[in-house]
Amino acid sequence: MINNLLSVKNLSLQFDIDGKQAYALRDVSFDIAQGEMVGIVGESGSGKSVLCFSLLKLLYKNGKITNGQILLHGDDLLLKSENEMTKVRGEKISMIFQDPFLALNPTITIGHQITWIIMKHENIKKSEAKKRAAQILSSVGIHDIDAVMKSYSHQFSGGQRQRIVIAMALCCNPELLLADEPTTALDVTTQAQVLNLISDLKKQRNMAVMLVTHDFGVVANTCDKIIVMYGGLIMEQATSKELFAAPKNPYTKALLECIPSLESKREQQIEQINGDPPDILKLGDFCPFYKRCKYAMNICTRKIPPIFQVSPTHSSACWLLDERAPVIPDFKAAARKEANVN
Amino acid sequence: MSEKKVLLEVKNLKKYYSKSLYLNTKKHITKAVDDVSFSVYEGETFGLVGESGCGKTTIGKMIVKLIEPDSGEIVFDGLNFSEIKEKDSLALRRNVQMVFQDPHSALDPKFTLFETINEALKTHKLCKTKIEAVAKIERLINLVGLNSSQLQKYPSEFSGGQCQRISIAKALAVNPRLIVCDEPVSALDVSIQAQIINTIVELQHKLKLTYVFISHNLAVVKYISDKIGVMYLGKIVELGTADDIYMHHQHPYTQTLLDAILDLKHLAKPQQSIDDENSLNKATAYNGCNFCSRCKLATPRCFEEVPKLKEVAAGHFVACHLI
Repeated sequence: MINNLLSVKNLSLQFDIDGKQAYALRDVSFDIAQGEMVGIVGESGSGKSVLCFSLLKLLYKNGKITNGQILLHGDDLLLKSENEMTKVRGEKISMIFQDPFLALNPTITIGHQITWIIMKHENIKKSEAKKRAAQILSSVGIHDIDAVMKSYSHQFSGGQRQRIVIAMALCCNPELLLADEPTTALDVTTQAQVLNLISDLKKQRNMAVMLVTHDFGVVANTCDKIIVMYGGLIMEQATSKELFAAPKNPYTKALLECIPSLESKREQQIEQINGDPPDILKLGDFCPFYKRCKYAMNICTRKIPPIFQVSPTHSSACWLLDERAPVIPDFKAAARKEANVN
Repeated sequence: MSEKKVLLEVKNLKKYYSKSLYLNTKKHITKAVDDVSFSVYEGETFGLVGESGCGKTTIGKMIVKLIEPDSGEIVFDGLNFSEIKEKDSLALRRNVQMVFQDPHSALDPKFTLFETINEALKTHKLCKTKIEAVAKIERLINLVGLNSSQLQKYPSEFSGGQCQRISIAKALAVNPRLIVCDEPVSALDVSIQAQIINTIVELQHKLKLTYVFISHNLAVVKYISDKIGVMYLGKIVELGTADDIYMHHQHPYTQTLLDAILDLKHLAKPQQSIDDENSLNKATAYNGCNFCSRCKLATPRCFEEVPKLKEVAAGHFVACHLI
């Protein structure tokens, strides 16, 4: 039996925006095992970043978790006080952010920032903390450490900065690393390096990683499990093999098709998803994707689809997987068969 | 093939920026664009690919005459840019338009959709009466896939994809012949990118437009372009048709860029990581090829001598000593 490090159960989160309710997360449930790399994919406004922040309980004042549990080794983080949470942040769960420039303090040297974090969390001397900081910097592939420790963040390129941010996130040996779009602000060639670094570190430390991104390419090569989010709902959850071989949700399928690949020919149009991503202020009791969905049915406009289990590791929230739905030839027919078996 | 007409020709274009870090230290020269030449045929799309800082946007801005080049020539339909005076540049701008990366900051937040496009029409005195203008604007926004009921809305009321459509409509308003698209899809959501790319391709067929398409995303550039120039630190390192670049590429940097693509179809392919990107800053330390410090195949000659573009096949140029 796999040991679950983190399990999120029925997490719902609302933002109060000028008296209107925005449903940022709705009934989100998933598990992360020790040493597992989980990819969260979604467009802007799908709730993926909010999910990261809610795991650390770093929410704006107008955000409220209305339901659910976040269990870390069986302990509910939502019941912890602010003081207890500071112990969790950094030591158990830590996070790297999208823009490495904004994540570093421009007025303090890199060495000082890292040693400060170590000293804050662990009761050790400054000299020892400095040694630890140097070790961590070298583990993320930074050379010339003495010079780096004395430098300021603006003296580095984007990729170097992201490495430093990763080093900072790792300096207290967290069990779970939340990476919120760690490569979006970087160049393509640097992106590959940073992704390789994250997966190497994951292996070395047997650390779990939750990689949040909008790019399927990023998760395809690195993640064990992929969660697709849309309009605050988990649309599909599967191992990356299952997901790319046979997506069982029209949203996932459409999203995979609309990415031009090197093989696409100019004569053929790219499959496009019409319409715009949903406005989270206007979500209600319906499938958030129905307006853009090719296969939308009557029920989709009236009820949020339940989660259908396709295989033990693959689930999808779509009414097409229901027994009563019409059989659509290409991919849903097969999905239905499998769903019935289970 | 020989019937094709060259619409835009760029010859030995250079743009250097110099700055000194502290008050009286030696000036540091950044070669943003260094001796770049290419030509764009009418009705075709020319793609410029490269990492950030390679000078692709600078070239785009020089083509629309937002920046003056230090030396070199830009010839648009027989008209040399450097001979055009500032006061006559309006006519030129009618022919050459630009679509920017971030659609929200490219639009004036205090202008409605109607005013945004009408401003372009007024500046170029294209419509005599308001009725004419309204009809034209309605036709334009239908063309880019928007609805005429949205004419009185402000940019903040539109999503990113819609704003990019407005930007495209604004560029089209003056009936340009060439549009420079500077990363038009990279600020957009994945599901929206395909819509905009399809729109851009469709418009090219309908209006016989010529594009210079700038992007760091090779898959997108390959899909949309007839010819592609791969840029690295201010220089074009490889130039050829889309197929030349993707199937028969010869420059090590093009290979590096292709390896960095995270393609869903090649899941098993291990990602090749290139060395320390810090060397990017060191590149200026050598007199030779800009890519030498990152190149796995570099020979001593690469550190000393700047490689010139050589024609390896008809229309396919590579700047590398190893070829």
